[in-house]
Amino acid sequence: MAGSPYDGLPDRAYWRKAVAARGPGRLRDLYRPRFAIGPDTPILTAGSCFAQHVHRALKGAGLAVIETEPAPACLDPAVAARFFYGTFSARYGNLYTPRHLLQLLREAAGDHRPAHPIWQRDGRFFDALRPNTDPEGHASATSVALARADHLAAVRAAVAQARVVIFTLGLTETWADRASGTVYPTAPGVLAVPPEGADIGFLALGHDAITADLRALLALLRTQTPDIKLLLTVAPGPLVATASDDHVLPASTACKAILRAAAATLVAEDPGVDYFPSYEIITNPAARGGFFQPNLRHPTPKGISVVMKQFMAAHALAAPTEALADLPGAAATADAGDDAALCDEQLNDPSLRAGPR
Amino acid sequence: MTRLLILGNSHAAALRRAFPAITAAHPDMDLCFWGLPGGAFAKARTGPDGLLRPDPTDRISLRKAAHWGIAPEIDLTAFDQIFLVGLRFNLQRVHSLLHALQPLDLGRRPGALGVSDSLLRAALRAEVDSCLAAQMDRTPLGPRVTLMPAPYPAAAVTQTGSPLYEPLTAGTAALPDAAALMALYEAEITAGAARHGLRLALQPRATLATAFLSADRYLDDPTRDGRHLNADYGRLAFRALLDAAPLSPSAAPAAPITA
Repeated sequence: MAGSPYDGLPDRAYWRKAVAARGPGRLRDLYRPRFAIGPDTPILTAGSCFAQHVHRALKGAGLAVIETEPAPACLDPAVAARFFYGTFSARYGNLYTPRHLLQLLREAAGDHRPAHPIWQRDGRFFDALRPNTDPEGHASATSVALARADHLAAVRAAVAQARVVIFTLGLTETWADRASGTVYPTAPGVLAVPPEGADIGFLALGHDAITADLRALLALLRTQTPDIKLLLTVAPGPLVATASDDHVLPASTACKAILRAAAATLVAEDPGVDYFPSYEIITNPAARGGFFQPNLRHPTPKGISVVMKQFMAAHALAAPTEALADLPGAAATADAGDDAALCDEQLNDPSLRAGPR
Repeated sequence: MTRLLILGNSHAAALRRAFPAITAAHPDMDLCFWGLPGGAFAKARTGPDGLLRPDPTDRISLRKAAHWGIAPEIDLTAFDQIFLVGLRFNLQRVHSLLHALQPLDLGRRPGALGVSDSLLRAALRAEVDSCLAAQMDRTPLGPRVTLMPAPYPAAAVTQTGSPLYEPLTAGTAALPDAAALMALYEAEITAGAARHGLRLALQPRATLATAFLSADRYLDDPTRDGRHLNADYGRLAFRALLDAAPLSPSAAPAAPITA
């Protein structure tokens, strides 16, 4: 009798051996990198809240993580973190969809002018494309514009250095100006309000839109650095809230499925793209939810540590130490339960906002 | 009679020097002074018995206390009002911040990182809170306390080549937006004091030469340093503290209200 194609496969192919029989922190041969990342490989990080953990962990492990807007040395570390210094390769804040990153890079290259770039609240002026990087806003619109010009220069410098872009896909829901297509990380009224007459509405990006944006993003990156690599991850946390009219649980599943499928599509069609399964590590049923904090959204420091150890081991890099739990972001998450100060999406739940908006 | 304590470091000594004038002008007040030089005062702490005293393990503090001739300890509860004078609110670090960061609503400044005013405020707030938290940890302060920061160094410290020269202070004072930056800083120390339930009196405007600098005529001993001010300054500082504190005779808690 002929054997089944499932016979004789390596242990990693069988759920019982590879997952059920192993602790969630002891997965083996989970990730086989398609391209090497060495200690000197210039890495640009961007993405959702989870990407902040990636950035800090890689930086803490001594990798060549790009930061073109570093915190001034004289700045109190807590203030620096609150204003998104040292969080990503530049102070762009959370970029939840590839469209946000694509739009930012086009703007930095001078090929895009976002519509309604300055929103207001209580007489203060906010950069609508990264409102949480200055959570109390600016004193004037001119100040916002000058700061954005500096930021775009920093983005250009970061992209110019990058050889690997690690992008953590976070959301499919976003908010867009209907006339121009400009996307914003927060909905009107969450942190600030767009100018009168702006027609900004809900936009749910599907698989085709996400993959198209990823392709365009990769093409744009390659115009500057032809052999640049794109490493995708999917943020493990469910949605804080959905504006889709669906229940937040299936909405979260749909969101993550779309993002995960889009990543798989890109990996399948482009050897310069890889996927690292941080989503799978944190949501592994073997962890029985243990890699989530009590709010069932934020990963625990232990979970992040497992993710990063898998990543570093696969790339034969020095494993991040247990000190991961001591990272500023990890500590804040552990203590506060919510790292609201660093997550725009967090503000979508009014009960989680620090104060009235 | 209002029992009033002038408490602080070497900058509070300017008020002590003004005691003859102050007591002559305010015979209704029972004035006391308790202070130590900066480093020693920064180590003085209120013990479980409620008494403030120098660090008993620090010989230098004890020697300085003896040199200043102050009581070995003081009961802060014995006073109706306390004027705490000389906190620096991490002013050296504040100078560094003001050099490094420029609020973009004031325009760009070469060599400085352009930031939102809110970022600079937050950075200043962190320094102010750090200073106040340390002070409150050493000696919990309550609503009877009015603060006055250390006076700004005298304008003489901006003269290059002078032994009094202080490059950091001189640099800040020379910033094109020095006045606006000083206003930001002073707003933060005022708000910081309020967050801790304390009042704060700013350095009297009449004693300033320009932003971040005191007028040279208030220097106590120009041959010694450019920071410590004289009895004339002490008198004006005391006046400003009186204006900030609820110290009218009717506010003095000693006299019970009778029908």
